[in-house]
Amino acid sequence: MAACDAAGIDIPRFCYHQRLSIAGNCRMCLVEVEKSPKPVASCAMPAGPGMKIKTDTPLVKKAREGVMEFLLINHPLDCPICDQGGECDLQDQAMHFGSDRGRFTEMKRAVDDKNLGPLVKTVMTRCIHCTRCVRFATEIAGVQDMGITGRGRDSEVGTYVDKLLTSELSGNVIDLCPVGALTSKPFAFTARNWELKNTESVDVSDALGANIRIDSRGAEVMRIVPRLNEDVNEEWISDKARFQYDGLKRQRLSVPLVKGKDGGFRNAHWSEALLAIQQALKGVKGNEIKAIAGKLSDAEAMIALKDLMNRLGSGNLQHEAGFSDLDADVRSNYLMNTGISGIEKADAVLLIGSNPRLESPVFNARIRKMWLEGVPVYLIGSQVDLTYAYTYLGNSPEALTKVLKNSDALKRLKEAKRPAVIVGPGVLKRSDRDAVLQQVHGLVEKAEVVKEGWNGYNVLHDAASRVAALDIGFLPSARASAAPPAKFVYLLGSDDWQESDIPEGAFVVYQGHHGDRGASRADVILPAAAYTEKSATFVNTEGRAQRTKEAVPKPGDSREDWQILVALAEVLKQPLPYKTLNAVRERLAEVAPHLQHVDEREAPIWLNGEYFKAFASKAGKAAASNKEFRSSIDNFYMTDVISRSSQVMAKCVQAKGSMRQGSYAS
Amino acid sequence: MGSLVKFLQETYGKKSLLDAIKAGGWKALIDGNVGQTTLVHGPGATLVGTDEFGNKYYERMTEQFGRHRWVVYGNLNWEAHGQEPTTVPAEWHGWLHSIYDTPPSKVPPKKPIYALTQKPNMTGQPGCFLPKGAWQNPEKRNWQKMQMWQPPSRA
Amino acid sequence: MASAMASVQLRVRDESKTGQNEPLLTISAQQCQWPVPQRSFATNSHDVFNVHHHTPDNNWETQFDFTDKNYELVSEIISRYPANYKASAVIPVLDVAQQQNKGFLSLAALNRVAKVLDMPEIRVYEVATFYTMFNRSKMGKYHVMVCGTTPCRLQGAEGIYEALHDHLGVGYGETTKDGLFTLGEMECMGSCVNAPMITVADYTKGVEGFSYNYYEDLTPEDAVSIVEQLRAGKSPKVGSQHRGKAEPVGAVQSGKWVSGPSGTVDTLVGKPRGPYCRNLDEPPPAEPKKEAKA
Repeated sequence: MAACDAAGIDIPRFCYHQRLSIAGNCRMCLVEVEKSPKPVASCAMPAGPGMKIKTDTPLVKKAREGVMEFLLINHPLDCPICDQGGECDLQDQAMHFGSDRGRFTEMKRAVDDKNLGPLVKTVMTRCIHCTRCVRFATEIAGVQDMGITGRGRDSEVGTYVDKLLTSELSGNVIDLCPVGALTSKPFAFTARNWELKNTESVDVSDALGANIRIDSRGAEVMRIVPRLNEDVNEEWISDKARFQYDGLKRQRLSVPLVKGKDGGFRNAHWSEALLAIQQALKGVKGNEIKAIAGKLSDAEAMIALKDLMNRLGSGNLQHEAGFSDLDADVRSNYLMNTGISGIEKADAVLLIGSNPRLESPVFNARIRKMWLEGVPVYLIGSQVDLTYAYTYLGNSPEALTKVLKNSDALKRLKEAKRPAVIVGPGVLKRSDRDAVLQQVHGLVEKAEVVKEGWNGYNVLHDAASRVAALDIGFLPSARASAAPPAKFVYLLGSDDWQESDIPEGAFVVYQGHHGDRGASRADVILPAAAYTEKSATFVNTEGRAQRTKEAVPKPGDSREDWQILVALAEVLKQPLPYKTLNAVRERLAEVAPHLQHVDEREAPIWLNGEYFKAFASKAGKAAASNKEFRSSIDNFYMTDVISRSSQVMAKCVQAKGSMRQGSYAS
Repeated sequence: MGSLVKFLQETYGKKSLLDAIKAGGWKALIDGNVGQTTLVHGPGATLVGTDEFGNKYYERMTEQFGRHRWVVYGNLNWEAHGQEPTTVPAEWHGWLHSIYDTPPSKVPPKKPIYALTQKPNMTGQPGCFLPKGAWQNPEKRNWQKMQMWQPPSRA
Repeated sequence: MASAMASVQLRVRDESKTGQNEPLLTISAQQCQWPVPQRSFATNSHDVFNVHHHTPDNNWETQFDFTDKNYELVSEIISRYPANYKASAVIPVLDVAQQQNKGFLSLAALNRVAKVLDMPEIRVYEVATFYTMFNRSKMGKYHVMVCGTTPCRLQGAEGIYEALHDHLGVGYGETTKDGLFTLGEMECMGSCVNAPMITVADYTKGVEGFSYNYYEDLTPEDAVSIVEQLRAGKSPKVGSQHRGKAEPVGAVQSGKWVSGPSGTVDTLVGKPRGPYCRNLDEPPPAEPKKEAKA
């Protein structure tokens, strides 16, 4: 079949999928091979030299028609009430190979619907037993939850009695299902696929920057599906990326709000809100002004905020949640140097303080793929189920020291031609980060992770905006550490700040799209656009700049982030030198040229280890504490404002909680 | 003729023929269906039962199959939305269309728990069905697709 | 018009029989109920569904653990397979679990097997639902299985079923009220020469005393007497009920044992007609020479 695909000939298929193992059980891909007495299933037939394959003969047509008739025997005629209608493989192929009437007069079978959790809806009577979902769960997602029970016409796809599908990638079975047996539960009966407007965009729920297609109707995002990008997400996306969209419709900020004297918010005009900020800024100067960027801020907004802050004389900038002062001088220090697809070339992997299953499930699937091919995986970090087996080396910097001294793992990494070390975001957030990083650097040098033509030092991030913030230097300036307590704090979509970041009595401006912790603390709220409502640049963990596109209009009075900041700058009599989006992007290119090269990855330069030495001399000889490594994400389904507002994600958390209490553990 | 008089008296609840005609019976006379039913079809038939709308169900087994059961609507006044086929309840509909032979007047039907009460079609009249989004609908659906953030109550 | 007249006449004739206005067909309220599924949807004849449905004797709260003796047996079974292919032992281990658990695999038993073999539960569940000899709902002490495949059918398996059905008062997949017998249907068990036959799986004595006996050459009376003997705690004669050795000396015909004509055996005698199998002791014939021309 692969040969036919390469030749551009379309072979109908149900069970075959490029990324899954070959099952050969739907029989739809029958072709005639010369000198073969019977039609053969092309998916399971290796192409040989001189083989003559006929795909368009009467025999092939008749064979496929026969298969289709069998498939339709037990398939219900409920296309009008089926969510797959319009994008159903069976529907399409029945148009080619289906008969207009059936010869089957017996009883059709009916199958109990299974409960796969709050995300995947099942109508199992429609199932044609292609087993794509079973193979996906076992092979890609790595959870042994799905299977086929019974046999013959009584076989059913399902889980173990009433177990749920416990994968962070479970939503992908919806795309894989060629019929309407597995459909999206949140999307059920809300829209037809032909009435949706498709916008190709980028996901911001994690730092992977998975390529997505936003399907919208009017002002509503109806669903999100993955888009093929071999270098980033192949064709999978995580459940959070797929199902958090209902959070975009809840808890939104649509008008500027100003806190009155009585402490309550009132709706205001933009001019009112901006003037209130101007009033508050009177007499505040220099580093007393502080800006915190959030997890979902785009590069355009951050550069505008940075420029504005610098004009106001403040260098007190930070990116939320933890490592405010990571050294961003050398790009290879905070990026995934192998690249996301490049990691597959590695032949030994060491994870340090990372739980990629929560931090980036799609990336975790890649590591699983490597593990299936025999690549050894070592872990220094919390011992959790990563869907693949690993060698556990401990969960503290002490373990790291032990590995560094002498160990099989070190030997193995040294022997490997292309070893990879992946540092998780949990490490970067530690208070003793510099000491731990020095140890990691030592390990990298000792294990020769970086060699000619191979750089295996990887940092995995957990927030979509983090790499862009580091790229444009959205960091505290050298003098910011000596800054007085902030009197004015500008939160750019930041909700996960620490209590110490905002001193008591400071005037807080929150600019963002969701009312959450940040908005509750704010004195002035400026409504901004969410990632589905603006065209913005995000940089993923491997340094690939990607752009979202505007899929739906912005709600109410809200504006794009950079527009708000430009307007604010004018009100503050510190106008920024750009008025259009293109001008903002030109400014971005000035600061970080690679941000202009959208969808391209610019490999960072490795300074031959010079950087490590500089880092060591700067950081000094602080000793690492013996705190355990923790992933930066505790709850996969709720990491940012959008997923926290999403009811679907809340249901996922609930379902997961109920699973733990269930009796499967025995 | 006698049966016609009897029919008009029965349907309009009047004692004399004149009163029945005055009460609207003349409309029944010019109405072809009613005329046919009363004059040609009706005489000699058995009244099998009456439903809650006053529809009367007749049967005559000597009639050709397919025409052996019929209904005379309770409200014959076609100007006032009478003669409404949707007033026939489901259980009578089944008898009328020979789906089964026992009339509900003999064997009371067992209603399923999900059964609704029979309602005539009210199209074009007050009380007609309005879609959930129709502007006439007083309980109109809220079409707002986004839920806005409500600031926390004043601390 | 003519047809209309005919139908009216027909009607009139009918009336003469049934009387006017008397309904020809009456549907009572009871008849309007949902039909009870007659056919089970499971792979085997005993379970109703392929998927698990909670019952009082089979739910998450049920407990199961192998006895120490059976753990020895299980570890012996596991040792037959390579250490990294422990899952290969799933079928024999499930069989042990079924014998210990009085003839059926509860969820707890499946969980236990999964734990013992380090397998995901769903894989064990798949196997248990696939094979017909694994039962997943409560069984009687004796599982009486009637062969229902062609040779037995031809020789009167239906009569055996009817005799058992009348005697025990249960149909396929049902258990007698005293919990002693479960009647089941099996596909060919390979005793076609002695058709018809039944098999009785004995779950009364656990794993050690488990037996799976064939009773062949049955007449309906034989079947009933076997069941009665089991009920009385005796052990009926295993194998053919009517012949001593495997000889064509008779057969069950229309529910009766008919002895073959003694001494005048005329079937399967003499040299069979060819073509014969080649003599395997001889060296293979030389390959025919290939034509020089391609």
